[in-house]
Amino acid sequence: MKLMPPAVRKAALTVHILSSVGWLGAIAAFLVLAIASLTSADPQLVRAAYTGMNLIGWMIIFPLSLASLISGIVQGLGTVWGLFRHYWVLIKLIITALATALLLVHLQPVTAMAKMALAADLGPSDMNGMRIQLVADAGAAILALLITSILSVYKPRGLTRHGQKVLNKQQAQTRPAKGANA
Amino acid sequence: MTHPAPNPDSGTESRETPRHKTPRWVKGFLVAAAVLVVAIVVIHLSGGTVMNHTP
Repeated sequence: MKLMPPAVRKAALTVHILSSVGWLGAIAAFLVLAIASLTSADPQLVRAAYTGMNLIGWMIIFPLSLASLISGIVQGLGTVWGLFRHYWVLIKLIITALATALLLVHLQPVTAMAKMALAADLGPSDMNGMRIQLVADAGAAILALLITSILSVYKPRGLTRHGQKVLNKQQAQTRPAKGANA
Repeated sequence: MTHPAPNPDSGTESRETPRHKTPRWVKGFLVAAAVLVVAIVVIHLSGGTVMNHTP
């Protein structure tokens, strides 16, 4: 893929940062609701929390996760960083792709819980395993997104095998040109 | 006793095709990820609470 012009690259980077940080914030809200619905004995609060989690999950978290994944891929392909050249980019890609896939699977029980909470009052011990799972899911998602954020800021060194090959090829191409100039 | 002359090719070769080394932070990261994955799989298989995807 051709490298993006600076203006386009900055716009794409802005979309990537906004979607990724927004995803993290939405997960934080989801986690608070999951903890509140796990610990509360008030059926109205539990009903409101699961309905809210269902809405946040499908209307905010899932679109933002897709936007983050797609904008990250565009960012990788359209800049010198590449998608498979640096370990930190590759690890971020794997974490984001896995998180998006797992999110799609784990939003199904949220919808089921929201339907149950709307149909009947949920007592403190009802569906306890599922409630704990939703808290654990949100906690794991926050951990994954914190790791990707830290990787983005620190950009730790390290070329992959593919990245090393690309670098060698680029160096081999520039060396004869330099020799010809001299 | 004469010292063997350095091989001029070896230096060039190492510059052209340096041996790929996985950074230490990547190795640590992979170990931590493997531990997490194994822990989650064990919890799933042992029928822990973090198990079902449908109520």
